[in-house]
Amino acid sequence: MLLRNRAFWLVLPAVLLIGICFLYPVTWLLQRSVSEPVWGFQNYQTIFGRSIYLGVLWNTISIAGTTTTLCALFGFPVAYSMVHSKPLLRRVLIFVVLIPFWTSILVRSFAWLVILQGGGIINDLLIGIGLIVEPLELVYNRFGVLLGMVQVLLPFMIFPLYSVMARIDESYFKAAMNLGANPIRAFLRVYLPLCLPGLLTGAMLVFIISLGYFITPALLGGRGDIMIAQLIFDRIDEFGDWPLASALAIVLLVGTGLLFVTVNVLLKLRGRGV
Amino acid sequence: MTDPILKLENVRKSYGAVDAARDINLDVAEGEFLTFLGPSGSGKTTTLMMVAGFTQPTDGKIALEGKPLDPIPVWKRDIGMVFQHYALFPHMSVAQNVAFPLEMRAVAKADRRKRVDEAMDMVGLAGFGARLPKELSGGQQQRVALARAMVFKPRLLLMDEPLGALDKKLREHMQLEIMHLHKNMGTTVLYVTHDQEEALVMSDRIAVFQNGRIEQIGSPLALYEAPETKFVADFIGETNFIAGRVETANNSTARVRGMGGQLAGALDNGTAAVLAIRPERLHLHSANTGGHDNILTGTVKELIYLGQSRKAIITLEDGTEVVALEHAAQAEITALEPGHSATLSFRSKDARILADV
Repeated sequence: MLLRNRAFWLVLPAVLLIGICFLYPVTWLLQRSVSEPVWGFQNYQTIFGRSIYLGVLWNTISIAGTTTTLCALFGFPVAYSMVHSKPLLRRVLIFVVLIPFWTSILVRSFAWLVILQGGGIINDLLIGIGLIVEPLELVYNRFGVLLGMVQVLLPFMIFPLYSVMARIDESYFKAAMNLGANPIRAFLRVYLPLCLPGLLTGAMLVFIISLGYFITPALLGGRGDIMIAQLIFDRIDEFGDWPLASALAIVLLVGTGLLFVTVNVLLKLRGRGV
Repeated sequence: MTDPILKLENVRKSYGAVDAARDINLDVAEGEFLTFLGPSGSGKTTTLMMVAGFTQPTDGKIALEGKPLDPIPVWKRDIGMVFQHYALFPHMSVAQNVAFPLEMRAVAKADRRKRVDEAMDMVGLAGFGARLPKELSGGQQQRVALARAMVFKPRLLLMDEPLGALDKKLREHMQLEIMHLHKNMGTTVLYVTHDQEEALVMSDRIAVFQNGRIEQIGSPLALYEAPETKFVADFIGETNFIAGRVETANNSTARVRGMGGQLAGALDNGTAAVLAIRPERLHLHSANTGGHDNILTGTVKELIYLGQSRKAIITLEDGTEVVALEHAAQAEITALEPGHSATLSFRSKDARILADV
């Protein structure tokens, strides 16, 4: 029966790929995280018991959260313009939004370094026109991390928003105004709620990708901006501490999974009008 | 007539070099059901949108109850509107949708609930408040849109092709329902449609739009029986046109190709004109019995059985095809077959002579 089902054969390659390249290593990590140095949860106790690890967890969540919020704030007007512009301008905008995908994330992070550092063009320019005397600290801190991450992740917010906005009939907004809502109230009570599925999808994408971010915070951040992915790398690279690194990876995976499920449940409930 | 509730004076709307609407002059009486009828792109929706406030007129004045509407933004106009696809907010329940205009007007919660219930009751949907719009049928959504547009007692109700998305049976049913609602509530209604039958059934008066202008405005009867232009005669109902030139014109009558008719407007002798005659005003005979105002002769091309009536397509000697409609009982007496020669008669007072533009 199963062997005659065409869908079975069509999804088989993908299932095998995920099984071999994802499930197996994850199981292996899970096992190491609870079996070394001895069987038990000591690695997890270390993570949730020591302030240094809790600090990194908190960094990770707060950087991902701030990045998500900033992406939503900057992405919303862009998506809106894309939907409400003439076809030619729309194509230009889509093109511009996609450009970052064409260059490697490493190159882009280094480019930010060149622009933002003490002797970079921004500081040179500001000093040149006499606005500041000392160079501003634009990089190797939270500001640099957020700038780099928002730039890279913005498209992940813009495109889900765009696809939802493009399907919102403009008559909803008109109807709201006709019924007595000024533009601000029409936006808050009608337009924004209708954008919510796109906003949630975009936010989930950006947040989840942010959680595992590595290169940008490593290059543009300071000592206080270490995120969980970087910590995992350090534990393995510097100390060969596979068990703790494994436990960290599992924490990241479980956290991400919980978030994913929560957002999906929220979207489903909303779809039923609760 | 008392002061009109809505007055449009020389209203024009242009987009670049194109006038979407021009020379719009209109007085709407309190409680009137006025329909804008016309093909798409004729300016009817543009005019409606200017009244609603979504579009600003390029020139001219629109006044509601004597006050110019120009400086008043959409959300302060107190004009209800039913949109083409209803525009019910999909994320709100039916009751929340209907309560929305009251909420915007800061009506107290208890009063709000009472008025929502009344409005839902009015459209026959009591008890449907907790549903989502998408859980209702097309006709029910239509009624919710009506309830939402009327719950705040607007001074004017605009309807933009509100029945376009419904099937024929439901459309006819809703036409009657909207008419009854209009009668009971006494609200002034501006109704946009491209369906001439709908306009004839529902309206007190119809404004026929064409190329951004109002071609003619009048009661359904006046528009059908006394069209003033060839476009109106053609757009409303079916009409036969016989082309020629105006002959022996006087104040109200003239002749075209020797046949008499009522003159629409002042047309001089020699002007290109059509004689317009409705199919049901053409009488078919198998032979010329004499004693008629006007006579046309030709050959029966086709007979179409319609149940209660029969349609005969006759080719005249000059090649013009005309259509005559006969009651089934009369058709039996006439006893014609395709290929037979036939005589058509009509009274001069049933024909209109219109400028051929």
